[in-house]
Amino acid sequence: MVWKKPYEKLYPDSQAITPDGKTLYVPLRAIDSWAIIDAATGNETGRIKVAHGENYKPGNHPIGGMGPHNTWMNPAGTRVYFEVLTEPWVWVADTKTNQLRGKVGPFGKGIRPFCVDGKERYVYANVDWLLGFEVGTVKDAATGKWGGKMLHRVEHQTPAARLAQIPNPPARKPHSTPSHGINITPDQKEVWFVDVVYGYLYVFDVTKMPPRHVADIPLFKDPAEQPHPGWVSFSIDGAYAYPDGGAVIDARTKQVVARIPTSEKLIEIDFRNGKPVRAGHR
Amino acid sequence: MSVYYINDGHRHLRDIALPDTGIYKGISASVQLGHLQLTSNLKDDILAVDLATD
Repeated sequence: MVWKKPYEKLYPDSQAITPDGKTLYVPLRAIDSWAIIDAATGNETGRIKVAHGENYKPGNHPIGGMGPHNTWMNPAGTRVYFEVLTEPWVWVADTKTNQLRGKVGPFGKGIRPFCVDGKERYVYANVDWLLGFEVGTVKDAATGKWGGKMLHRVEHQTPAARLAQIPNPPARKPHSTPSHGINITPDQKEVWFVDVVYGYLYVFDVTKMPPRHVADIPLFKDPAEQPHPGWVSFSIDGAYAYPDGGAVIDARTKQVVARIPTSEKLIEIDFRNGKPVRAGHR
Repeated sequence: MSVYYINDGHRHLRDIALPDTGIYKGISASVQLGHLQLTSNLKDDILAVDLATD
């Protein structure tokens, strides 16, 4: 271990790193801020205050927690995006000034995992209690300022045959929501998201708006299996999709090509002559 | 932490023990530094692992 820094009772969650490998942005779920950390030393250099959120009222599908949760970095490392549990916004911050520039939304309910396309036109977000995702514009169409509005809501259905196979799904959904896991393919053409209850990946073409359904991919080999995927990530070249739940998917053919114990926390690192040369993101 | 080799059919290579950490929430890497970073909810830590020596 190179360094380890205690954040007792602050609950560090899912971070992003600048592509120069120098700076980490780590959400602190117990409070309302992201810690800015020097990746070489682990020393904290600042914080960005965002929000903490407030759980939904009983009867409105309250979830298991609140606070700063997920982070996304743009390819140039100039902007970082923040999501806070129960908040229907995605915040945009400038990594040079470490100031918030705007917020995208409001979305239909609190944001869960999300991704942003490489040209930073759209945010694709799982939202609480939706099997699917919503699309927001990163910039306001009228003013050009950071922080556009929600544009589309994509509501999907679990295949009927699968519903029949699992007539009594878990009373409490894993991650407290139907879809917890979304990502955009490296070629920027498709958005994939998970069905945490019934063990599927769903694929939508996003080359044009609104998104168009492409495929449903079962993660189970035998219908009796009940994988509960909570994330999906891609290999750097886009050849493979890695939902947690035990399957590796060929992203072109949409077929399972390997079965390994995939994790929600998975990253590709390429080595040349024993030295790391390229890294993806979760 | 488990390591798999993509170019050989996702073959399992090895497991790396990370004592006193667990319930990981985030993962990232800096190839420039040769580090992999994790957030651990077991005792609420942020940590970096050397990719050359595990």
